[in-house]
Amino acid sequence: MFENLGRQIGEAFLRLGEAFLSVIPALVVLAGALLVGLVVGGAVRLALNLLFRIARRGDSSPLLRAAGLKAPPSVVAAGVSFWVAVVVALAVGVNALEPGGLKNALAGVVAFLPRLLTSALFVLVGVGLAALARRSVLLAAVNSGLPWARSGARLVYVAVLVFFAAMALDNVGVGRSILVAAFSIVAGGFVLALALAFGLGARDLARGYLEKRLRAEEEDSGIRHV
Amino acid sequence: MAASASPVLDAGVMARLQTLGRVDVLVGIPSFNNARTIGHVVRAVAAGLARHFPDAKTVLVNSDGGSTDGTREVVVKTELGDLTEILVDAVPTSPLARIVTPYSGLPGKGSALRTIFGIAAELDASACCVVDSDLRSITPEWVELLLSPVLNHGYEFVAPLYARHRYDGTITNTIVYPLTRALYGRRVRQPIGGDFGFSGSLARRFLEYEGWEGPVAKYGVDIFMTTTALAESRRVCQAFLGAKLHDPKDPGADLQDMLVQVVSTLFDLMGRYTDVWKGIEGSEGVRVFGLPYAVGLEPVPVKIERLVSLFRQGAAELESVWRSFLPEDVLRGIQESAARFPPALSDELFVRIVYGAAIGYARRSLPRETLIRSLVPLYLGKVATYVEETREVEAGEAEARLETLARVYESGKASLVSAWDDGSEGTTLKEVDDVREPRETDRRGVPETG
Repeated sequence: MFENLGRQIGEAFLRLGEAFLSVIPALVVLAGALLVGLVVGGAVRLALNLLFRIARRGDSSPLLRAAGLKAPPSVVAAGVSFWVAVVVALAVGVNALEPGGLKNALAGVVAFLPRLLTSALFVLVGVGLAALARRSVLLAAVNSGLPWARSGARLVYVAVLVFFAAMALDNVGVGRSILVAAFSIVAGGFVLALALAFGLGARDLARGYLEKRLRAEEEDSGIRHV
Repeated sequence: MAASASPVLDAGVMARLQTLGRVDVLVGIPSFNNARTIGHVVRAVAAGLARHFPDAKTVLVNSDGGSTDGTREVVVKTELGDLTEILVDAVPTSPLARIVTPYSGLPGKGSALRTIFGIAAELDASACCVVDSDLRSITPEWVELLLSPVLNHGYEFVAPLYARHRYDGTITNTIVYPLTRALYGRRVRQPIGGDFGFSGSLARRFLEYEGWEGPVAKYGVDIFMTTTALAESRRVCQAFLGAKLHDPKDPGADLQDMLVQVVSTLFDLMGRYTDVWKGIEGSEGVRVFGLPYAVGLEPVPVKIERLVSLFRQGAAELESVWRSFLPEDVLRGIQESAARFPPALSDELFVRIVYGAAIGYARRSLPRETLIRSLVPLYLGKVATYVEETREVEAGEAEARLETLARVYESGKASLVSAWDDGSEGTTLKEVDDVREPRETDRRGVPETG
């Protein structure tokens, strides 16, 4: 009995070893593809850096700075290109594998990467646009003397950010239906609450505020600017 | 400047121009819903041309922005009446030729003037002038003062000089005049006055500008004309026109928009003419035609509470925006100024703000319109400071105060040039020298109305 058990364990180890050995070529192919991706990505990054330097367009962009990225656009573009090259190389490498469980698993991961990158891009653009919108609202409100300038600007910032975050999550397929429902409920509820608050709950306040604003506009300082 | 296409002229207008042939003098009036006032302007122009240029071949051009109040009909139908009553001893030899046309392009004064320049070029006019359509104080003498220096004295650009109340034209007084003077070294007191004389060749030169789809299409056109003449070394003079009384407010105009249009154009042209202004130090006077005289007006009651409130709110909320183009010590100075009662934005600080904004604009530290809109509270703070300083002083003292400001702009120019040349990010202006005492001669400004 013990002899039989030992033989079976030995065979199991042998099968495992064979399985490992059969994967090695696939891993070599993948490693080769990754190496090619790294080399191509590095070359692309170097070329882009050189091009930006020649074109002298390496100054930091307001949108990127608004998004919290202090790096100049040349560095961002070069970095993005590098990682795109790596992902493409990995995809090619996975494609070259023999059909099987490993290929399927890796193919799933690689197929998910572009969506992940797109979502990251959504977030980056969203943060930038939200910051720009916040600044525009803040400026317009301050120049008009509105007392809620800062809070209004923050509200717009959060709203834009939430919108892009929802887009990013939807893109990667996280809780799609829940997201859509939540976003609709929150947005609709917000508008309804505003309408009720301004039109009913704070009717007198609203009237008083508007009258004060209009009077302030009519009040001429006596200065002629131009 | 690269040559660009002239404005598209109406087929009917082109036919009329061919009939007219070459003219000596062209007077342009841009308009938009000015039916109430444009009749007076047309009569004054017609009388001025009859009296002062009786032998010249003249034409009046109204470039209209689609008025719905019958402005164009007023121009066409305005009867000159019995001109012997106006002119006493001069009678026109022929009726005044009039061209009334809509303009093409972005709605705005600049597009209207562009069409007038285009017609002047087509007619090969020797001398032209443009006058605003909402003027209530224009007289026939304005036509002579704006055109004669071009026709008879070889000048190419005539800027207006008005007697204005000290609180009338504060963008001009605190930014446009002193900055233009410091940059181009000529003291043109009303660079955005609105009524100008110029030669036909300069009109053609204006048409070559490639930025007609920008702020120049709107209120930026006045400073564009003056700067082009100054930067391109045209012979420039001024004409004293007396008081300028006009409609209180352009209904479509907003302080922020006007500031953006005027200052954007100023800064754009700084980029265009960098090689010209960098080499200029100090400033010199510009010849004045006409006899300056005092004009009395009712005093203007000025309330600065709203200006102060907007300045303080800006100081409280916009520091993060200003940090993109102003150094730390300037930001500290703004906070200190806003904390004072009443607020006091010194000349030195304000000049550093304007120069910092010019550099930030050139480097695109912020989206350009955003950058200029962020200057509104600072400008209002400076106006409030100026009002506080001059509320109780004589007119000459108020003008001397502006002279002091202009000299601070001049003394700070070296640091502007230095920071402009050093293109590295974060380079900011050094401190500006304090210039307090104006020369005695500087106190002799144009007499103030009021």
